[in-house]
Amino acid sequence: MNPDLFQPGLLGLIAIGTALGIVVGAIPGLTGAMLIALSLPLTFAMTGEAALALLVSMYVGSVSGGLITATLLKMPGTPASVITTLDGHPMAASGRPGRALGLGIGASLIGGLVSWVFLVLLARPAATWSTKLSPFDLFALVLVALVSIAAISERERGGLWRGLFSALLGCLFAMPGLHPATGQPRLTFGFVEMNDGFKLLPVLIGLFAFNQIIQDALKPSGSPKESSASQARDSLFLPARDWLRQIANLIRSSVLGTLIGILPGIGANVGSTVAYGAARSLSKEPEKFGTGCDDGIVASESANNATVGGALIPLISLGIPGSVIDAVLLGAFVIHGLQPGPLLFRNHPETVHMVTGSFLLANVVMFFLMLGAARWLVKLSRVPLSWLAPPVIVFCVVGSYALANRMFDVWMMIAFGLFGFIINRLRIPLAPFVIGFVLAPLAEENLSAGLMASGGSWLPIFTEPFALACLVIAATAAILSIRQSAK
Amino acid sequence: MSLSSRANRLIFSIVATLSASIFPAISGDFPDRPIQVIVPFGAGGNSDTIARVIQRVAAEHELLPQPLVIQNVPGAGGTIGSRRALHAEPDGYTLLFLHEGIITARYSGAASWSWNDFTPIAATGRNGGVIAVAEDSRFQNLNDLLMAIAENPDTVTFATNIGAPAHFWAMRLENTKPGARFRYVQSGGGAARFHSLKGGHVEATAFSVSEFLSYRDGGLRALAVLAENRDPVLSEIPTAREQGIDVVSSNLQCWWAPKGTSPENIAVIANALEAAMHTTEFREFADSQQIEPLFLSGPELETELSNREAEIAQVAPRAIAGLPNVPLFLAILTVTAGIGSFVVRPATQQGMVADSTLLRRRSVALVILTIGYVAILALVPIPFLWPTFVFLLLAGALLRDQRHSKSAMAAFVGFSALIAFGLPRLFESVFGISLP
Repeated sequence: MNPDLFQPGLLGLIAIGTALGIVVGAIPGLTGAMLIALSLPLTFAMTGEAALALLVSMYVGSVSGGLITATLLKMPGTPASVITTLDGHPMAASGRPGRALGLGIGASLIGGLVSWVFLVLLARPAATWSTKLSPFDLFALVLVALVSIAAISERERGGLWRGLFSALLGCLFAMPGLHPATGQPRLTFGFVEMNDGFKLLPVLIGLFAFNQIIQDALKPSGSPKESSASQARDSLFLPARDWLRQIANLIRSSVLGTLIGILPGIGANVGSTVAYGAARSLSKEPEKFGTGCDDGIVASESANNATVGGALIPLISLGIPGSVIDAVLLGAFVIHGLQPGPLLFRNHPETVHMVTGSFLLANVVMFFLMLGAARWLVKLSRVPLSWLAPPVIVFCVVGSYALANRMFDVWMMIAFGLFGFIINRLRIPLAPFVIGFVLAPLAEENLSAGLMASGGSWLPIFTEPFALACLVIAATAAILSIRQSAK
Repeated sequence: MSLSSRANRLIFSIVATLSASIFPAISGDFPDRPIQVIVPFGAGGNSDTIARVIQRVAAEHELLPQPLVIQNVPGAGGTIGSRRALHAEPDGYTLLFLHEGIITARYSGAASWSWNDFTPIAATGRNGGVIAVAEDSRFQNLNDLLMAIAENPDTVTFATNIGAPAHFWAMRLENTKPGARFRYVQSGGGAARFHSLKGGHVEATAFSVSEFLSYRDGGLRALAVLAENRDPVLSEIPTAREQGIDVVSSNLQCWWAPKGTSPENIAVIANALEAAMHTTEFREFADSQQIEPLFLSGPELETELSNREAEIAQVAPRAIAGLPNVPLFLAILTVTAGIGSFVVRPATQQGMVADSTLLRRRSVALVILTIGYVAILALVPIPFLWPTFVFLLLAGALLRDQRHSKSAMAAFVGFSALIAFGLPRLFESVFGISLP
């Protein structure tokens, strides 16, 4: 590793970046992408290496910070920790918030470390492989992710259908706006504001933050979920044998997360979804998932941190961003006169080392900061609703406005908050909606690109081996969970 | 729809008037307050980077008495931001920074306005274009490629962002040979196009010179540069003209003001931009990004833009057949409705506890309060601070569970004030975003 990394100034930057990332990740409505995009102008005065160290640390922090609110408040601060709510919150609500947080924080560290190893070893070979995927292959891969998210919310009879319904609704809401391939407006009903469609951030803030506040206001005062989750003061530190039991799960989830992170355009949320699904289908007690089991938290949190390292692989070796945050990081490289790609390894090896080194250090810093701050954040969650809700709403408004400086997004946020409230009342899960909403444009863009290249023929999807394999996996997963839920 | 933008404009103009009365201008010279520059792309993109370098250089060298404030209004290929600038007050305090996409958006049907619905201020740089294939491609030069698409139209795939300037470069190449047609494949940014080319998913594409330089070592072969003369850093690559194909094109980075802005104000900004371009910092940046530091303004710029528009107007994008679009939407809608019809059942059937009337009223009141707060922010021209402070107090009072002690209430008022005062500070000074 580059010895320059251990300059006190740089270590300070990494600590600041990680801490800010954790705070932003923990606050629903503020996301890592926003923090990094907004901090970018502040890095003009720094060297390229220092700027990247700061921004990569923010990335690591923001993916990790979400687990605190996801566990204690059932409010995922970022989409990356949507899956953590499934088991983290039930465990915290049953009086073991320390254990839930300890598992999540430890798993995050392991996920980060495992993906760092991949980052250092695999940057070149993995990137060479991913360029071989055709648009049809990517489309089929996205279908696998969609089916698996729909299957995850299944917990009772008919659950898969409810999950599918939610995922398809998400796809429908993703369609208005500009066609992802031709750029023509569609389904905008004459509203020019709708040319940009429903944007992720207002939708997410509305569904997960504003909706949550309305629901909290409906609960009797004095006994909101979070207070029962925070009263117990159990230890954050787990016995070693509990960790030993998770080794297979930790490694599998971290590797899955890393591999999914490498694939262009698929972010941390899909990583945690797939790892969670894999952990459950391989578990001897799949019925325990969703009720607050160790395995669920470990799978989700190790995988989402692992996607960060995975996503850095195509970013630095080919300049292909794997997620929204990576797209912003790519901009950071360019602003500082560095072009990620094969040239970067030759001309600026110190930059490659700086990125990988600060990724490793940020994970370690994250671990200690989160362990230290979790207790404080547990206390924070005991703050009464009257103190918590008003500022959260103000943050929702400010966060949606700041995205593109327009009030239209704020109105959208409120509309989606009410929409989320209604579909929650109808017992439709929200996570598949968000995943469908994020993945639909990606699926459509790749499908369109594939069809444009094949001159309109759908045949390649069944003749390309990788695409066909993905379709078979998706179909098998769907059939299995239909049979399981029919039992 | 135009309500919010009109309201924003109203707020902006009234806040502007207020601040102008608080900080009296020195003899009313333009500019006497910060100038807002709309960059219709996300922070960190190519356009954003150029705008921010110019902003920084202008501030460091004090080229303008007031700062330029970059406002990112991304979305819909730049048309959301350009539309906002189109309807802004033509007072010189709202500008737009957008490349030739302002013309191509009009001709691809994404926007109903074009460059002459704005007043052009200046062009600050030009990005050249390169037509490239993979290094193991069967095409050795531009003529090979164009012969192939003339003999077998619609067989050679070409990766581009549909409707972007590069798409129009390719269509102009087609126009030089009768019957020639590429098969266009949608592919986002430069990195994605490189990826498609290397993966063998497409046969040809277009890059800007800087994109080409950064991917060249990944195994690319340039067939032609679309400039008048060979590029100094790519001197081994012939121009299209040298190969007998008369297509010269590039992407011009331009600054725009809403139509009706006074010529004096336009001149002030144009002079500042020209001075910014002559600084060493900008030169170094332009060199590193392979941006040709061309400066154009006034009639010269208008002629150039008219020529470019005429070239773009010669070609028209073909409709791309066979893509699932609205039928796909309807198909998903049908399936969703089908599943929904037996999945969606009211919650009360599942034995959920009914909410107490009091709590239901409380949450309805909270929603109404929030809507009222946002409506005031959107429609009433007062600073962010006051409605936020009042909203925090009212919402806190609404949600409190029992009578708070006096000290707790005092603490809450202090806490609300801290947020109401602190947030705009934080966003304006740290993040550079002005709140409504």
